[in-house]
Amino acid sequence: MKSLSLPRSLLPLLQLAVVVALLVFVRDPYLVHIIQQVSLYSILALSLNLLYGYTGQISLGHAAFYALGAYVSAILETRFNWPFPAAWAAAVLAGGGLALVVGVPILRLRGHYLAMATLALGLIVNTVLVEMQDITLGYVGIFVPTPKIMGQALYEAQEYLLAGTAIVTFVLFQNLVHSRPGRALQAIREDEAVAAAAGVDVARYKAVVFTISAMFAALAGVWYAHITRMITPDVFGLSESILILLMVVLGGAGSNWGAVAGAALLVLLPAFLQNFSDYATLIYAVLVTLVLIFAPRGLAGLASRGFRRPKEVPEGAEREVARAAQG
Amino acid sequence: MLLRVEGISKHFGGLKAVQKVSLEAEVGGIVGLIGPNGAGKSTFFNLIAGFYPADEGEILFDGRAITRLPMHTRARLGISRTFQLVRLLREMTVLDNVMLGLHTRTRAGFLSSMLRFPWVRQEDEWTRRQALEALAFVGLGSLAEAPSTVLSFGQQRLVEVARALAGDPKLLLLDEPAAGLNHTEAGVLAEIIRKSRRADRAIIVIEHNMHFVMNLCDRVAVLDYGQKIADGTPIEVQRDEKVIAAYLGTHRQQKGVTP
Repeated sequence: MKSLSLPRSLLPLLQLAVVVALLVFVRDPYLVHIIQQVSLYSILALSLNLLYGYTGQISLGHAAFYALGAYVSAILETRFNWPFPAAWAAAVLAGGGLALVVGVPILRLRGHYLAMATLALGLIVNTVLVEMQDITLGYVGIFVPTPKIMGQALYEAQEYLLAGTAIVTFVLFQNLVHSRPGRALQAIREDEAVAAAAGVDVARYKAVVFTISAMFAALAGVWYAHITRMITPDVFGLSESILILLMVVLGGAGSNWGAVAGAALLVLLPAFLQNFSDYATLIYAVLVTLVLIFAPRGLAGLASRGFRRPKEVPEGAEREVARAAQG
Repeated sequence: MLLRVEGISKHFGGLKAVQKVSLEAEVGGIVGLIGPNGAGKSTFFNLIAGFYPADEGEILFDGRAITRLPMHTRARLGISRTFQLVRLLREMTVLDNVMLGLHTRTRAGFLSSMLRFPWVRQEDEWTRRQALEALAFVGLGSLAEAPSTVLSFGQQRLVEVARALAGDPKLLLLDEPAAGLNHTEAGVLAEIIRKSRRADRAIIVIEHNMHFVMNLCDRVAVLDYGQKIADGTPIEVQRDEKVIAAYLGTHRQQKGVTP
């Protein structure tokens, strides 16, 4: 992103300013809804991208953690009268806890097997939500109260907090991928033997990244529950997991910018396609196929191809090697 | 003695890839490990590095048994290696590849990196400088920002050596570093290996190319069919009849081409 000639740290601030300005000045409910959706899916796509795009571990069950965040916070608040901040924290920890418990055995699997195991995880969590009606109320759903922080109800403030959460998530992840553990994760994606030979504890890193990814998905779930105020199991099914994965792939796996772009694209697309809703699935399918054929690195790949050309080997590199040979 | 391998074996099904091989490597020296194709050299390396466990025998490193430690722990103790087929991380730049080599010498974890504390930033800066130094050491300083895929094969190999050296290893394992290099490149590489010899480091080089090993190493061990058949100075090994037989294949001729 250096090619944009803006300090990396300034860009998120710029985004924040734009979002706040939009929310403050354009109090159009539809626009607010779109910003909420983009923020929510950005968090989800960023979290899955960390696991899939950067570490190379596929998950077809990411909605399980999203659901867990939503349900744990909602149940703690409605049944046990927990205050919002405590329920919020407990939900995020629950997401991380589940990932840690299932992650250790599951992440020994690779490729199709990991895909199937995570798929099963998503289906199991969804079935539990449907069947454990005593706690989850099944398809009746849970009505979630307006969150309060220190006795103060959050109405519009939620919108800012959600957008803020998305931007903070972006910054944290951007820091992470450009760091020592970030390099280790990418090494695991590229070649586990090389990572281990360099001293990376591959199993531990996979478990930690799965846990972090799940915690952020659960965080998105908490916000989802409080913004829609009504949660039912069908929202967190297989199609949701696949939608999140599509955002990552279309945006460009292995790029945080791509994850956000993918989330924005798949939130905005249905809005544009409202009048052709009968054909929406067809248009999706064609779009995904086109992207996979012509832009396998997603939107982020297209953008970087436009902004910066692949660097050529500097001339004289060969000569330098020869010079070294002569001492 | 920095490394003492005592009678290790590795079987793959019916194939006895390494049979009761012992080897010692002392700091300050360069040991060559040679042998015909399929003699078990790479398997032996993989056993030392911890790529897979030994079926029997003991590996002592710095006086400590490491036989059952996983690969990443051995790396942390100071064992670095290169791979026979160059294995650079293709999606990353040359510099990132070498910075990965400093993983064991740095501390930053997930949380501190996400929050990018000032000490994390400083550590990353230090890592970058060390990696640039390692790249300059192998003569590729100007290619730091290049994607690793644009390098020539010889350059990729040097990057791998830089990555291994960046970890400041006590034991450096080089698996056929000169394979696929032309004469000039092999000369550069031999010079780099000589320069990386240090009083507190042992180097073991697997090599096919006899000439390369004989000029570089203080001691040479020879493997054939998974067994060590010779161990001594380059001159001694070159005169050893069993070695000559293994390389020129006399015993195979005797078996196969009876008049």
